[in-house]
Amino acid sequence: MFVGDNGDSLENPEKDNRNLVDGSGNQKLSRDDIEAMKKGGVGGHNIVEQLIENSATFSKKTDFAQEKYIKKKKKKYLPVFTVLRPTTRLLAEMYFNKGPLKICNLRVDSLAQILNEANVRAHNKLIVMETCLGLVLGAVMERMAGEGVIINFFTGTAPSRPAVDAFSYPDSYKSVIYDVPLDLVHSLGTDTDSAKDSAVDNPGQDSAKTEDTSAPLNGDTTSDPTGDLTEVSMVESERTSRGEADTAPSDGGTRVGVSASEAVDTDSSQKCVTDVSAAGEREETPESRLVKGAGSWKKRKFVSEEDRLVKRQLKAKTLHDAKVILAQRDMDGLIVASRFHPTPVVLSLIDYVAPSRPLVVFCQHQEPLLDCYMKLKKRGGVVLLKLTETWLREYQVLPSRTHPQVNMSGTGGYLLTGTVVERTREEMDKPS
Amino acid sequence: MKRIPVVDTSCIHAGTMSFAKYKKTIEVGDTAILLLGYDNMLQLMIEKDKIYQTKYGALRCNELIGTRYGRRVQCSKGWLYVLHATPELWTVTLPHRTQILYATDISMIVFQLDLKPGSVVIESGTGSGSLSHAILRSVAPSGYLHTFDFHAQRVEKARQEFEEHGLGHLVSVAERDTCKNGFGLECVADAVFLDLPGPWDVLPFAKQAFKAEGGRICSFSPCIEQVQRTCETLEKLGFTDIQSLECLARTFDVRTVNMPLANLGGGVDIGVEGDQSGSLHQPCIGHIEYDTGGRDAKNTKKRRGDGDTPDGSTEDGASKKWSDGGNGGDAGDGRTKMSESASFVFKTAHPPVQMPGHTGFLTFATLYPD
Repeated sequence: MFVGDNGDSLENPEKDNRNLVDGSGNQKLSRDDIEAMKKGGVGGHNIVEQLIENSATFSKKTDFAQEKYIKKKKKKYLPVFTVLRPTTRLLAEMYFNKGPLKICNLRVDSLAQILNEANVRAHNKLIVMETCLGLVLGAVMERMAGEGVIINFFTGTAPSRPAVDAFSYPDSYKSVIYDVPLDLVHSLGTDTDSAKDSAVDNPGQDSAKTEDTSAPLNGDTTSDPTGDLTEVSMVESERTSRGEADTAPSDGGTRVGVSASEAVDTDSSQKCVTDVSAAGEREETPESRLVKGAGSWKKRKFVSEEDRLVKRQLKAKTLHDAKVILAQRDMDGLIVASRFHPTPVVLSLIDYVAPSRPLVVFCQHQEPLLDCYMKLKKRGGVVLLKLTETWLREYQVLPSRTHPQVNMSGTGGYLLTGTVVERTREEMDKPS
Repeated sequence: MKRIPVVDTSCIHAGTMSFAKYKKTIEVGDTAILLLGYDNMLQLMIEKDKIYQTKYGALRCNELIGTRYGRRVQCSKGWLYVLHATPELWTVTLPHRTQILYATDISMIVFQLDLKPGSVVIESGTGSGSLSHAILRSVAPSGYLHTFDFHAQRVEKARQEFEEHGLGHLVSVAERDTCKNGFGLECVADAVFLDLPGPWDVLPFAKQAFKAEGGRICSFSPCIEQVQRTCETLEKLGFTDIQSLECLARTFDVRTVNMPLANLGGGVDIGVEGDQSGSLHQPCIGHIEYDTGGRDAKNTKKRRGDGDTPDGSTEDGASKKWSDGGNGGDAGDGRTKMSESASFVFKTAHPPVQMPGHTGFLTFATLYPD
């Protein structure tokens, strides 16, 4: 609030706090009185007025202090809220204020820089790997507006991204996402021979999307080493189809959903892939899994066999399409922002990034990025490597009372940025 | 929506799209970025038969055309990289006609103004176009930027650059004193950015320029008095969520520090034996390492807690004695039994000794619909 006439109070300090003594008797209204007023339907304005009237010290306060007092009481008894359309800015602020650890301490200024440094825009083909509740992915989606490709590497059994749901994007925004389990990364390279062929035939993402679904299905089953894990995969597909992105046992306990966004139903048309063999390795048997998660699978009977098959095919197709796109090694950027050590992730995914495209790695700690920096230097093929941290300071701007806010955020995470370039022969030959 | 027709077709280079979309190979008409070394970059226009002289020798455009971006190019006296232009690289290579905004402030401005494909933005003034390129990247392909400057040459140059960069269809550049005459736009904008000495004069015009559903505004001012007055005017005009902030980036110098151990005299067991060679090969850099140096080196500090920084390292971080290695001086007096090379080796991200302490204050506010 700007109270225009207060500007001269500094020059005429007719009041000060020399006679103000902190004591419980300063406010004559008791807790019970206030509660009674509230119950009696007395409005917030009225309560604040009563508080002022019954305050023994209010009149002795300076104008500034009176204003502050009123502001504080109004905040308590006259809560005002505005309903706003979700934006990256609002959601990033909300998640950071609510629990920064859940989003790896990703402060708004760090997120802003990720988006700019990675040159995120419509028509790009980006690789994203994040464990910030989907906040980074959601922000990227906003800047791409349904144009381009996002290969989203997720950890655990299914993508968990309550923040993306909170954006309530149209389906077209989601259609650019190809979900790939991170634990499939190492098999991507070995399994791309067929993908490469089709990439030559159809070197565009659009054509990749419209490919025949039967081929990928075959490819997926052949990659299943045991062949007896069909049950698991069906269960998996069903879980995802219902939009249940609950925490996978292998994924630790840090993924905590946000209640407001959980209410938003995950869009069932989202493409999702789950690695059959990897799921098998994590779980001893399908049965043991059923016991563990029995409560969350109650709705199982409502999903028909055909639905399940369709979902499975969709997942397999997405995985295949993602492989085809990645096999071209022509991605327009890589964003990593996770609670996992970034070096192995970056080193595995950087090969898919085209030369002269940005690399952005966010981490809440500095040391892993130091390691990543050193390893990338050793590997070669990245220029303009830069490790940065931003400092964000807010100001209270009021007539005659402008100063930095009394509290400020101490850290918003660290960023490692660089530009991927073609590796020279010597760099390629170096032992890793 | 009213768009000012200002497209000057005389300077359009056919087929250029250097900023609007990524492409694989270098083509005639591209604005490319030349990387000659860390923080040593130039921007240049790829033209047929053109030869640029660099510190590494002649660079022939004809040899670049048709080759891939991001490839190492060998010149007679060294190599360099030709990089695809991005707004971020443009900001550090562009020809300065004014003071410019840099990456940290730019990212905050674009983020806080809620820019996304389709946003319509007003910018005053255009300056050297550093922010404009970042705005255009974020609002493309369906958004639009109206940018104003009262300086005729700057307007002309900016207009030419946008055309050359394949962004002309997304932007209008107009010569106009917005403080006096406003923008001449009503109900078109989602966001307004002001970098003016007296932004408060423009705020009433800015309010008119917003769409009926409102939007976000940002004012960049170096001085707090400007911020004060801007905030008061914003409040009077009915803008809310007024927030003033500063955002600065620190760039760390990543290096390995070899910190000598002081000679505390021989014979006394003052710490743990040099038995930690295993930690030398730890994959994690945050781990503290001891370079055992000589075989009988003794470490003065017992420190096995991972991730903890030893007390001495931070204070010495500021000193410049990175590489002088041994702890010479007292080696000859015969009192020491400690190896001269005994040192504490660690990897560190060294904060800048000097860094920009202030660029400007960013003031943001929201205009909600009535």
